[in-house]
Amino acid sequence: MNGDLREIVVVTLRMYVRNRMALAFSYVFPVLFLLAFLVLYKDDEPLLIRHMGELLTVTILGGACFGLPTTMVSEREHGVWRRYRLSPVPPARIIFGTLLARYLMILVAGILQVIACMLIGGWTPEHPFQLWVAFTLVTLALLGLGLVIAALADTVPAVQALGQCIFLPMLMLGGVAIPLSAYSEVSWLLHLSAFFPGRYAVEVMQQCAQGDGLGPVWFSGLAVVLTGLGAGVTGAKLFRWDAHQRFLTGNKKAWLLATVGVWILIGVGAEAKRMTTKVPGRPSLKKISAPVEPAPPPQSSAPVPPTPTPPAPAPQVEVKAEPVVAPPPPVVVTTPAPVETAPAPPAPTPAILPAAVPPVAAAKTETPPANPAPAPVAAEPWKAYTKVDFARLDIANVPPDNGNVTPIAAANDEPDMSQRADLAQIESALPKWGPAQVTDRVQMVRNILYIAGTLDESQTNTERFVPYLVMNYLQTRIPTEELTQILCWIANHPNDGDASAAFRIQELGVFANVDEQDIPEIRRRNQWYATKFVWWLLGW
Amino acid sequence: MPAKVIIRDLRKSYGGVEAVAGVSFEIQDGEIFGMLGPNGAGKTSTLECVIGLREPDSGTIEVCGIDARQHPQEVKQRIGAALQTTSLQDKITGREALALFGSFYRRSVPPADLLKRFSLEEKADAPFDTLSGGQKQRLALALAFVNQPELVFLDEPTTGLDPQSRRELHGEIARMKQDGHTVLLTTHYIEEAEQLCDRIAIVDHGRIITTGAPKDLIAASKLTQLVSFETSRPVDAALLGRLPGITEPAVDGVHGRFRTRDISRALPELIRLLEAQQVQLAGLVVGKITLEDVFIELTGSKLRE
Repeated sequence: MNGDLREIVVVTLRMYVRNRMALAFSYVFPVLFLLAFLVLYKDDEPLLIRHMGELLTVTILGGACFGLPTTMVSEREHGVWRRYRLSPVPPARIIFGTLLARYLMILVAGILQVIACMLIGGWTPEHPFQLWVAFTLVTLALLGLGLVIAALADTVPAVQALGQCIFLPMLMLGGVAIPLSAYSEVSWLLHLSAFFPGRYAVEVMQQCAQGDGLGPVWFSGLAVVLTGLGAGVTGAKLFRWDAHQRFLTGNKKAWLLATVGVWILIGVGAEAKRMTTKVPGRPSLKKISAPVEPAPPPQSSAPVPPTPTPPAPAPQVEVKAEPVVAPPPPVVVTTPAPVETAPAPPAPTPAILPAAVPPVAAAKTETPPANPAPAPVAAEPWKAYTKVDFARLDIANVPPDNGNVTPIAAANDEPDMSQRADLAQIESALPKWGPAQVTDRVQMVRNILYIAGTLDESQTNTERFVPYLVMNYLQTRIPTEELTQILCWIANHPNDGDASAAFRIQELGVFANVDEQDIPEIRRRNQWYATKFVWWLLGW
Repeated sequence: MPAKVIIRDLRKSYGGVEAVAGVSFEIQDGEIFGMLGPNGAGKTSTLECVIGLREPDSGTIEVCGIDARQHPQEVKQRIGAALQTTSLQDKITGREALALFGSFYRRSVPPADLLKRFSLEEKADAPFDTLSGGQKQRLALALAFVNQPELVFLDEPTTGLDPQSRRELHGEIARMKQDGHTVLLTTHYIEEAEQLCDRIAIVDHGRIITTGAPKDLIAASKLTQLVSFETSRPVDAALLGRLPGITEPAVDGVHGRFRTRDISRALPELIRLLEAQQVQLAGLVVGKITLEDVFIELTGSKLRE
């Protein structure tokens, strides 16, 4: 480092340390945010790791929107920078030295914050080096915005006003303080957030703290770098040595476009990317627009088979089962008790299952037999299901996708970093999950559906994305036609089978609080999800 | 030896108001050159254009043989400057400031030497915001000397200082002169210009009205000196009026007076007249033409108006 640059950095740091207000602002406020996050997300396990991106971005934003420009404008107002101008040191050196000093201050605050979170949560960042790289890129990018604020503001009060104009929207709309998942039902806000760099800052750092590092979030990394470049160019072009040096004349005003233009460019790019890229874990399925009127049942050329309702005498499980078929036409359901009044009993034991019922309900074993014999068709009544049966499913009474019950994320609804992390966790644990290993396909599908149903019942923040993950998993393992039949069977027989999978959701690495009394509700949600998936698979 | 500073037809306008309207002057090596003029005359704008704080609209600026408009950074390596008010970070100490600014130059004077020279040793480690006005201005001068400059620019360095601090600064500037430094000083204090400067330029409305050594400016003035005298008995007013080179003769009893541009000729003539009339001279007062008189003569206004 050159002597002059070192002196600028050292003196700037000394001035900073001697300014108690600056110290308080830089280190107390991040701690306050940390405590606020701790209170908000006290149920997270481990604590705070899912919000490191947000916490660090808040810290950086504070230093960039207020700390840096306040110091610069205050010194400029006092004529300090005018005195610098008398010397032969180029402005770029002064700016770089000031930025470097500010970066070091923010870095210390960030390190302290990470250490505090690690101690509280008992975790370590997945990619510490990449986290530092991401932190550095985000800091430089947002400090660039600080330069722009310093160039625009004539006075320190003006810095506060301008800083708030960037800080608050970034916190509220850019996903920095309020997770984007909170806006899942207000799609225009999600679109709007794509135009705020804070969103990408959170994403790159979160992915390094708890995720796969910078690689998968290359777009966000690029967005951060472009934000920094745009702001840096604007800040450098509008730089003023003294308060009386006006810049808003002539062509200089146009340099503001370098910052605003980059934000717009990134937002448009993100929107375009969203339209052309599938969210990880999301299958290429048609979006359900429930409730909808069921399409007229397609006429099968084959003769309509009898309704594959298990023959009497139905076991108690089957008797109380709630088939979600549409009211009559040709089919008469064995015992059409309403779901609400027919809570399912605990999972039946094989001993009470009739011979006609396939080993679906009995399939509790996690270790498949060495050479499982193919089940006879007669023991798999769901194989007789056709489009006629699919069409009879009562889709009209299934809760809509955008509601609280059995939600499914809209096509333009992106999971945030925390949700991505949870989804990735489930996705990676699912192949080894015991309930997913059962040989009985119907029970296996039921078990997988329990993930969606249970997480929906537990109101986890990933609930609306899990259905995609579930269907991805099922589609890659079961032929579509067969899967459709099984799902239809489950929709018609929601209370069949073993429900123990609901109690094993935590083995997937996600939190779900399930009691025995929750099982009927979860079964009902499975039924609705199964119905939605059937229509989904058929493209209705 | 070529001039240290050569300014030709320098112009600078602010929003249609021409603050510097074609200023030209030269400063020789080792000279203390003063720019004297009222507030708003264009002194500071001229100086700021020369030291690179402002971009002139037109004109040429050559400092130490370098085109200052083409190579401002190179010029800044060779000059030092103290502005009307020098502000630094509130919490920076004098020692730190000298080290910081010293790092900006290819060659620099150790902070300790400058602190000693400008009598700031006791306040070397005191924060800037605890220094008095005079101490701040001495630190500003120390900063101006941090790079061993060939040329020093001082923009109204004593404005706002108490008399003692002003005297101290005058001492420092006089020392610069003894050390052979070339200095451009702007001021609106006539006595400061008269006392410190080898040559001065009187500036008004963005233009240099005249340039020269203070005594030459006075000598070249068309102003007349007032001569008042007292005699043992009244002098004949008609005879007094016949003295060559005098105007406005008047006699009031034993008191008489007249004005003249050529005091060295008028006084012997007065003595001869009194001897011829056998009148004894009881008292004589010769009014001095001041630089301020010259300034008023040239600009039509008082300097501090």
